[in-house]
Amino acid sequence: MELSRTAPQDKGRRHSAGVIRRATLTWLILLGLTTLSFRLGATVSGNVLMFTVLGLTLIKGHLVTSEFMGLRHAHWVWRLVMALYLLTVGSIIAFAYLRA
Amino acid sequence: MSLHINDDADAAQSLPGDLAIWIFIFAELVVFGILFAAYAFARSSHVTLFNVSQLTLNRDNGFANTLILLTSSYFVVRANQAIKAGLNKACGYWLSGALGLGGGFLWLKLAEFHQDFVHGINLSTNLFYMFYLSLTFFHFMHVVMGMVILAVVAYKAYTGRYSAEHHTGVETGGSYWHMVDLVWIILFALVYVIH
Repeated sequence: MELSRTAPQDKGRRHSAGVIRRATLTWLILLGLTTLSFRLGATVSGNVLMFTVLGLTLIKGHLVTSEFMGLRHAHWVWRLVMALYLLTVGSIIAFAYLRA
Repeated sequence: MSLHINDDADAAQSLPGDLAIWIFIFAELVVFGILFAAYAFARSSHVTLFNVSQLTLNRDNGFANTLILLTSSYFVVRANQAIKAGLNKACGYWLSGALGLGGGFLWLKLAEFHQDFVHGINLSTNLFYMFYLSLTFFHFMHVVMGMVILAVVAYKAYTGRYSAEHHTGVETGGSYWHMVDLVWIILFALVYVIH
């Protein structure tokens, strides 16, 4: 009886701890990618910098929308819309920088 | 016909928070996307001007503000997790932490604006500063709005208006705050880093 009452709570706590671990890892990766972008901005220039930092920015954007905003659990249409937004903005910026 | 309606409803329900905030979020993202594109194409005709002007920006502040907003977003995620566990006070604490970081962001940004105006920089100084000041001030106002929303949500969390079962408000406010963070991530790369 005792076991049947506590087991779902334990399962819930384990799930919650797993979600927090995943969010914490995502946060640390985001801080790392931001630091990398910032350092690259001071040492690299031109199209190499543009493509690298844009790529890192798209990864960061995906992590924020998927993990923090919770789109990972949303209908695939919403994930597609957000992914298309990020890719479109990134592509337009890259195109504009390349024609400079 | 009814199948389509059900499909649409499922798609809408699977988003965290109210559907209305997501329509608002996507509209905001489109507006910022157009502004980012305008900046990029304006730069393509004035590369030297943009590169020289970018050197005058306080890149350290931009970097610090990115770390601040990312951390505040993480705090909002923790607030969501806390309320899902039925921990109202903890939810309020995490949201208060996010609000404090939002205040730190505004403080650093105001310091940057102050430095610009001390040096006589304004919207009409040149094309780069017109974009830089407009984009960052527009985003600044979104941070202020996000903080107002988070403050209301935090108050309601402290006063026990949410529960593990009913916490749509926390998810709605959190989604808006994450959008503000997402926009800054792109803005930081575009204005402060890429040159």
